[in-house]
Amino acid sequence: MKMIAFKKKTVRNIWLMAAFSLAASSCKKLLDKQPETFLTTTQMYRNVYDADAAVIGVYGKLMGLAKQYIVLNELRADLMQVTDNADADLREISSHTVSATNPYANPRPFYAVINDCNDVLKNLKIMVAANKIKQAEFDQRYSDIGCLRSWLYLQVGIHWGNIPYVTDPLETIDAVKDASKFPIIPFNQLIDSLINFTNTLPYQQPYPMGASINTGLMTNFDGYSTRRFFIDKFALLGDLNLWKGNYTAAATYYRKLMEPVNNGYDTDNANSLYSIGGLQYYDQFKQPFASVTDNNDLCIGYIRFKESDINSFIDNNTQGWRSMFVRSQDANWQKQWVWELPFNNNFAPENPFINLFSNRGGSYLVKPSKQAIDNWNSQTQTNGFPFDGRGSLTYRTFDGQPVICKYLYSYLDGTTFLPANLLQKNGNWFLNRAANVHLKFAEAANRDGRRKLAYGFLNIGISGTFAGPLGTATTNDQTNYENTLYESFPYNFDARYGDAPRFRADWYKNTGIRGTARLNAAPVSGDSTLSIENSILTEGALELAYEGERWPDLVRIAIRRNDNSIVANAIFNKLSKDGFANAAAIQAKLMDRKNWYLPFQF
Amino acid sequence: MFFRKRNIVIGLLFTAVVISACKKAFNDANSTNDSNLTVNLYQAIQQNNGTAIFASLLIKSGYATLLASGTKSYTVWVPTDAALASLPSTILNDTALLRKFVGNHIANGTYNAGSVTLQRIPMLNGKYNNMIAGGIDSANFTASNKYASNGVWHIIDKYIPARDNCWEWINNSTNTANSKALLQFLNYNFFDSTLATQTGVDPNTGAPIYKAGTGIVVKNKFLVDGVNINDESTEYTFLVLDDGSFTTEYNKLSPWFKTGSTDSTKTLTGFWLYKDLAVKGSYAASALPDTLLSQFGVKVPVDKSKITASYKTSNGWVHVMSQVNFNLNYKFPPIILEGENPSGFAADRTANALYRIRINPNTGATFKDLLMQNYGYAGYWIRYLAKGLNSMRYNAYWVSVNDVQTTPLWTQKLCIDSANNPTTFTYVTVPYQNYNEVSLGQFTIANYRNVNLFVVGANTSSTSGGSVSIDVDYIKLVPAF
Repeated sequence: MKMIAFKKKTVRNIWLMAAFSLAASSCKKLLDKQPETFLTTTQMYRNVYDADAAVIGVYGKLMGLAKQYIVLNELRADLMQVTDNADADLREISSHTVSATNPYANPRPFYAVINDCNDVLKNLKIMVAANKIKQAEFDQRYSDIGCLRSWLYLQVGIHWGNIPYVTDPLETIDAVKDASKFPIIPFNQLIDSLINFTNTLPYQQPYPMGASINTGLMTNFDGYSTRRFFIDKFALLGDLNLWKGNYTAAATYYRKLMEPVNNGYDTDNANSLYSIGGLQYYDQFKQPFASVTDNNDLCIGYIRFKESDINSFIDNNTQGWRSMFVRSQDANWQKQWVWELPFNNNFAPENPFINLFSNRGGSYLVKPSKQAIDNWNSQTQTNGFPFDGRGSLTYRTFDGQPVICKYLYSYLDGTTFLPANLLQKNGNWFLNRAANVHLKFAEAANRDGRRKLAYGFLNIGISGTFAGPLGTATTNDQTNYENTLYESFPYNFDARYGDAPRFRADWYKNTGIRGTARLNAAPVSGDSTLSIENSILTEGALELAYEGERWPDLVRIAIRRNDNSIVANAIFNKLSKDGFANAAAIQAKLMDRKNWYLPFQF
Repeated sequence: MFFRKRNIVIGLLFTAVVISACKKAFNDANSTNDSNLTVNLYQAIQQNNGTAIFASLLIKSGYATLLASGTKSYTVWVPTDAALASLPSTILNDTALLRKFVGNHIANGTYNAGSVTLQRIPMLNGKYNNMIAGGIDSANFTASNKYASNGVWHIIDKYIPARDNCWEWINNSTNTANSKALLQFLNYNFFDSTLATQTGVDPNTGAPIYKAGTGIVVKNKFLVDGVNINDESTEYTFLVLDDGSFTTEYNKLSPWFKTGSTDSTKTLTGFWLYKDLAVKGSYAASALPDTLLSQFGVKVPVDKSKITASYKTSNGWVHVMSQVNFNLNYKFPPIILEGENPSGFAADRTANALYRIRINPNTGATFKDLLMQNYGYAGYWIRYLAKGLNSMRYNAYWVSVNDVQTTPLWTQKLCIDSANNPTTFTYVTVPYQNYNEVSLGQFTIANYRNVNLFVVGANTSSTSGGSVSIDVDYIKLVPAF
């Protein structure tokens, strides 16, 4: 992290120097000495530590995309709305009337990071050829940065549609515009290219760990562990195949991620937590049921035996669903988070989300749309309460204004919701977590003919969905129930939970996305594939709101069904419910798919 | 720090290069030749043709020195000499009145004319005047946005009288004696420790000791608990009953405020009568709707033919009425006590108290209730405080929702004043999934007072099965007159 700060200052110095030299050249030459603080390429890539620094540096650059990423993926979709404070650029994004000069619609920041990836990839190849790093070290780093580049291209493709696919490092970013060298390719072809490239990467697991976390890139610094710092390659491969429609392949990759102990995650395993049968084994990435006795979990919950009492709703920074967005990187945190990048006032870049979301110490530029609030308020919890508890924790009302709070819990005091320190804008960029992986797995399984399994992942978990006629009581003989072992990988799950005979199968704790939110199951009506897919799409809005999934979810499902109204109607609902007069015109515009994409203006 | 220092050095170098390399960039542009800015507001008004009288009034009232000073800026609305010709001599000959009158034309800060939205501007005399695009109060601008070194001034074709506000009006009125006497009767003394003189500290308690007779301020129940029509910054419409209609309406209300003393009854009746007669917003007689809604939610019928006189005040309008025929059903709306807002319990059973949010499946509306089950206490009760019940009969209802069990059903009862009161209501079985109001019966309150209501559970003790439970969505008391 210090490294990132250093780089930024260096960049600032370059600008100062450039301005200085311009001014000087126009008048009188004052300096003729080369700066001494810069490295040439040959000085830069000497050994594995330099390679690690380059990898970290790329992730540092990536963090500069956080604001644009959230604005594009959420404000373009139906859950986020601009406030009265928002400028014309944000308003354009929200209402799909984007002008060519809109900075949020400029892909250049993405290509800048892509070009950095290309540069690192090229130099890693040079290094391994020159025996400066070992083959295994090369495989891990090359695959990581390669995956990151594919992820960036997927983002660019989702928002800009037809784009140039550049895999060589460029001297200047503007060379991207050279259509003779880099032809514009359509989104379908982009996905094929990304799958081809990413599939051939030599290493798909997380960076390895030894007995402790301090090995290579898996380490602790500035108070943060890098366990979930790097892109998850299984998740990306799952996503690419889901976009492509390779449902079995997508489900296979997601399944590997959902069983982390078997697939190379957290192998430091300090106190056998992660070994087979260890405490984390049944919980990690598996959406486990709540810890009802003490609420030390990541579920919507109430104090035990007072589940019908609104005053016992778990709403704090250390217990329940809300805590995942603020808790330290402890065992519970690791059960949920797949990819998360930290912002801290001790290092650059500054957290952009305080300014974007907060009306206390920020500019309060965006807020939840009426549509998003209606989504939550149309749910019913198992205790009969007519709202989704996740809504109450995702946004809150401060000073009469609805404020998106997911990103603010590290910044605001946990009970007064006033900034603890206006200058300490700590927080996180939430990029991927287990609930998202489960919904994506369900989406793939549903389309792959495993509707009941998808229903289980979405609603009440595997054991409840595949329970026998006597139910899920552990006193029943569960030998022949609560499992899908008659299926082959990746759909063969064992969730048996019984005492006679005793079962504590791998998936016995899984309780589904709506199960962890204490919601009644979403009913299935009409065509079950479409009905379940609709429910999965809605569930994403409830569970993952403002985490950057919404616009891609809408677009992917609309393309899959060849039904542009999925996107058009969602945006219409947002705009009309928030009182935009031209909502119908925007709806008509979005019925044409080419209008989903931003102008590719460099 | 190393980087930052170096940046500063580079920045300075950069600036030096630019400045030294280029021509002289700035001309001296800080002098002015605007003659308006060479005179202050007083001089400008004095030198202007046609506003000499107001200038002389500025001298006479002492405001001239203020407007001649350069430390703050002001806005002055200057009536023409022609307008001031009709100024009554009573004002001219009374220094205090004159100062109040002139101060009604001057405001702190600068207010330019032309804004389309109405501005309510605080004046130096403590009054507020409304300015719109074309004028202020009832005067029109003949010239506007003239400026001087210390502010702006506008010329207006009428002077702005410094009127009484609604509260001053009633206190100075001579033809509504009953209403005036009643409202003044609502005055009370209030001890404000910030205004009192402290003479010592009680050695035993550490509490401050104040000099007797200090810190006493007079407050008025109507202004404090009702509508503060003494507030200049907000505009009100105030309906004042003439003597005849006052007696009619007062006698209509006083039976419902029986107390042990005639003074208490008078205070309560008078407050209840007047609390709905002042509403926010300035309505001239012609603009009055046929029904006003008071801030207490009471509909006030307004029959314009019963207006005997209307007076513009500095903060709205006063209309003297010969009749305001209140509908008692509006004046005494039903009292609703929400189940989730109890005032007490028989014993601490926090662990068994469920404050719930529910949907009424018949209407789709959400409601909150309080459900208590398995609390292990015979005759357990939840107490609700009904504030200010009138001396009248009430019909009692409740909504008690059992959506948790078809069997066993539980019973509960409502008691007035005491959980052991045998003379009120009997136990009622709460049926499964009944979301409607259940009529419990009628009770009579002899004297106006606060009343405790108790919802009492079955007189057996149980800690499981839900056979002994209490649920309250709300209790509703409907006056039966």
